[in-house]
Amino acid sequence: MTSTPHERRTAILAGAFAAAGASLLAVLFLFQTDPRPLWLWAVFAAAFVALGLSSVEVNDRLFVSSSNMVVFTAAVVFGGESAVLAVALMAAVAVLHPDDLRERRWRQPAANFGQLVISVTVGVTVFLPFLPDGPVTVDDLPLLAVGAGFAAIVTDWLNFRLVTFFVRVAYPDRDLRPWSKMLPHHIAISVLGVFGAILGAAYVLVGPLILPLMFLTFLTGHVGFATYSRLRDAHEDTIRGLVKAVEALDPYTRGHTERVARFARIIGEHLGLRPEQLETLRWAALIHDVGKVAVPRDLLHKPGVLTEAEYRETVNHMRVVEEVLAEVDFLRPIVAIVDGQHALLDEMRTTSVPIESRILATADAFDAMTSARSYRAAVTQAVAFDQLRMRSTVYGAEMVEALIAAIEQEGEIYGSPDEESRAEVERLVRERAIRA
Amino acid sequence: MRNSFLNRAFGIALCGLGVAAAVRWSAGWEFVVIACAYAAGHLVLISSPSGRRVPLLPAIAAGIALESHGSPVLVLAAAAAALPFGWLAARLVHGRRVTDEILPAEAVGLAMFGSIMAAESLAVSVELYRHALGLTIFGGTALIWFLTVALVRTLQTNGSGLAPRRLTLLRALADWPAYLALFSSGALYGLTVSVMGWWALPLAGLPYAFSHVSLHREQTTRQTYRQTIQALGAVPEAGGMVAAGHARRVAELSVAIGAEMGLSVGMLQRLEYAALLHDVGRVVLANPAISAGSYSDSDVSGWSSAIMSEARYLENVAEVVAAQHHPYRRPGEERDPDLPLASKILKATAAYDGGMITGLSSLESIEALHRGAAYDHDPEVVACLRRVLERRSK
Repeated sequence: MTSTPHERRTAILAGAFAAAGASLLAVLFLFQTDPRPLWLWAVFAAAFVALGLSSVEVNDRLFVSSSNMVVFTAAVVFGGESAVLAVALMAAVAVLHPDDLRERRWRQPAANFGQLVISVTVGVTVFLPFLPDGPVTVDDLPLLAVGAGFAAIVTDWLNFRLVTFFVRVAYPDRDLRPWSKMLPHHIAISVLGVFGAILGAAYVLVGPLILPLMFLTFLTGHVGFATYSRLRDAHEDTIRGLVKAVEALDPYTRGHTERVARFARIIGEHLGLRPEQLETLRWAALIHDVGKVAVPRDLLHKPGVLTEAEYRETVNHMRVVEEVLAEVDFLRPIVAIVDGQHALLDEMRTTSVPIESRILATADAFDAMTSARSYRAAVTQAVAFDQLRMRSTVYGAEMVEALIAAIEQEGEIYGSPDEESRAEVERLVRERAIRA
Repeated sequence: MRNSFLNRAFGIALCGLGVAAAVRWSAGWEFVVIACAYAAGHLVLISSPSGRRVPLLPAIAAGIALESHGSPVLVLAAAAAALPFGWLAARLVHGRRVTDEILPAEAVGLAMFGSIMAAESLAVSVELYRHALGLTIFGGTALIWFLTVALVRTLQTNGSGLAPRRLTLLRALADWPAYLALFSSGALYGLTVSVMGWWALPLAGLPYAFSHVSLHREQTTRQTYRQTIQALGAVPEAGGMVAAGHARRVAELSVAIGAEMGLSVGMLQRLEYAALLHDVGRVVLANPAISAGSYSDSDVSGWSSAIMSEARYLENVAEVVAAQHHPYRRPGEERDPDLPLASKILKATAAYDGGMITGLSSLESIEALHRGAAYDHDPEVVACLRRVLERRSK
């Protein structure tokens, strides 16, 4: 069997990770005592594996696994003499993912084994000085909480570093979230670490009876977050599906929404918008054309310029639908962005329009110009850029330049290779608000 | 009116009980602290899958019942004394709806819970609560609380209007995650506070907060999803292709009939979404080439289900809509046993409301359905529709 240089590099790296993890385990077997009783270790290991497999979305795109909590519960329960070995062994058995077994992948599990064993070993070693020499008492709790909060961040940081290192080598094209944007994740992980330590102390002080109660409460939370995540997907899927279906009614606008969403995202990212602003922008792009379902097709497809009356009629149809959507609390601010975009393109007002509306208008105009319509061909990318720059007082020079820079940076080409007359394009840009 | 009277009766009886208890066991600070905790338990509300909000009361009761090993009678007395005050505070903070709809059921649940815990304490050593058997007994009493609340909520539904008692019961039973979170976090606090002191608060509070946030998010997203479906269903109405309010009226009637005919909660939701979106396909009528030609209800169902099928999560809803144009039975043929009940209900309610839109009276519209019964419509569905309408008119 032949393999590419990239595959060989990945295999060597995965092997190195696994060897480092195995060596660490061997050292721990020499310096730590076995975790006892074994059944309790098995319970913690099972919880670690189960929680690791089922991370939940606790906030917009923030996925957190509670397995970090189990690390510090086990560390407190087993005590300093066997804590590191106990959690390292837990991490070692947690790498077997059903998908990997089914598809007979070994590189990913080998790399996971190494990075997990290394990160929890270092994390719990950092936690060791905070553990009491004798049995845990209530007086030890403040120190345990502080230590676990700190050690949880160390574990998470190291894990992240090792994972990003492996991913950069194995999948150079994959987009990685920068460490600087992971503060909410670390706070959540730190709280889980603190909680894990308190839970471990409660187990030692009160007895194993608290475990089923803990399990039940977490189960409820887990089920709730899982349902929330599913409903969120269902919500987005529903709107996306219906928008797609509406787009399909006109073959010329098929895929328009997805492209506008993409252009809006890259402009937003280039301008450094916050994640929640990007999320709102994505939704606005998704629904920005829904109002057209109520516009008679002969108006939408009419060749040439619409009369003032026709234009008003079209806008009114769209506004009625948008007002219906604005009845949904969640969609209200998003409809406001779309409304701002319409106002901008209508040239009713060009000041005090939110940045999201300007981004949406820029993305929409660019896609409208570089896509074919029933009444005209697509313009070239260069012409589209020129036109956007000419109208930068409307869209905002910042947005236009951000789009151009992002597209040029990615080396992508949109639009027709043929030149169109500037006058024709200018006229079409003026109309695009209602006919993109 | 009847609910209001019951609420007042509850309030007066519990107030009397509280005062009597306070006089009989005027036991200093412990009594006051427990009573305050109970009263505060009325104010914090947790979201539940049915859309109702559940007060923190079960968690407070569970925590105190397991913590106060010595005197369950004192606990019960303090709870009884606190109820009227908590009730009053909840009315001031959350308004009348909460106190009228939620608290009577919770008060009955608490009374049941307290009685059982008190009776157990006479026979069983309190130390038992530290062992698995004690916890099992606790779990049983918590279950009784939950079932009592569900039953009281069901009985509070007076049987008129569009929500039959069965639907209320099913929705109340669907709230188990909220009660599970409350009882287990309360028990966690009660079991650990004597050993761990104030550390028991974060120990019970963090998992509770996790559940609280998750249930809140779940409920908010569920509402948003429903609102979105409703809004998308109203798009053809906004475009003037369907009479205003048609989808919403058809959805209300369909759910009432479905509940009466024994559909599950999941199927009822599917039916509701199908009813809200059954005319969404009419947006294609914006195309003059289609609207100028001839098209049938069957075409509209086909367009609607095709649009819905684009959304993965609505595929099973699309099936209900797609099957609704099938006749119940064609002349000379056996009826189609595979025709979903939800589709038959949707067909009947849409036809009924359609009749009303064309200017027929309710009676004329339902008579038109009767004439189509056994061919176009399932006679059982039409009979049920009539019953629901009669109940609503009372």
